[in-house]
Amino acid sequence: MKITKEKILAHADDVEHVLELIGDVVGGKLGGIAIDAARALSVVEVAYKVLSESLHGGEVDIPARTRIAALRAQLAKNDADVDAAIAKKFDTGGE
Amino acid sequence: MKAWHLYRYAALVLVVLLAACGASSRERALRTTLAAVDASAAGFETWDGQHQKAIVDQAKSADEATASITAYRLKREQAVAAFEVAYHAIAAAALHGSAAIGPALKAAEEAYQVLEELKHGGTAEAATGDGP
Repeated sequence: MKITKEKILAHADDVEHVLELIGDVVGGKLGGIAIDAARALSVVEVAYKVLSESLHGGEVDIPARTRIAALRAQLAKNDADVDAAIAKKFDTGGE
Repeated sequence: MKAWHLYRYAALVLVVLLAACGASSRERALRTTLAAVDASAAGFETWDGQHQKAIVDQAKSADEATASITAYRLKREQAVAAFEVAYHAIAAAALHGSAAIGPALKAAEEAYQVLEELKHGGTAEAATGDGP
């Protein structure tokens, strides 16, 4: 069965269902990374691209863009934590 | 074995596997390279958080912390860009076959080098100091 955007959307009741499809198709730890990346970006578009490119790419399960998005998402989280640490240490939030 | 050193392991494995010149060997070489890049990215994410917190710990004022962190994040973009190149090269190799595996490995090695330079040449170099 050829996976198309329309079929994904037709079979997905909502965003979470789309994410479950990602996990089912990709699987494992890399599936988790794909799901996290999909949540960080525009979910439906990323979900479609992950599924379609995963199938087209064969053995390489996750497309480059999803891995890059996951890396950037974690770095952004690190940045947010550090910015909060600066504010806390130097009390720049003000009272 | 540090995640970064997986690149070197991947290079050795790739040389051996490419000598076999079979499609399945090429796939294994590609998967090994991808695993090495993934592991290094994961290590980079962890090190990044620790390094930035160390910068903040050493700073004596909010302005100093902000300036140091901003400078580090600008340099960090080079590493992120190197990872992007590596991942795209691996994806291209997966789609286009063995001719693209060499560039994929080269891109992975370059990402490793950029990360090494970031770790040893950035702001607050002594902050984490956990070099190879």
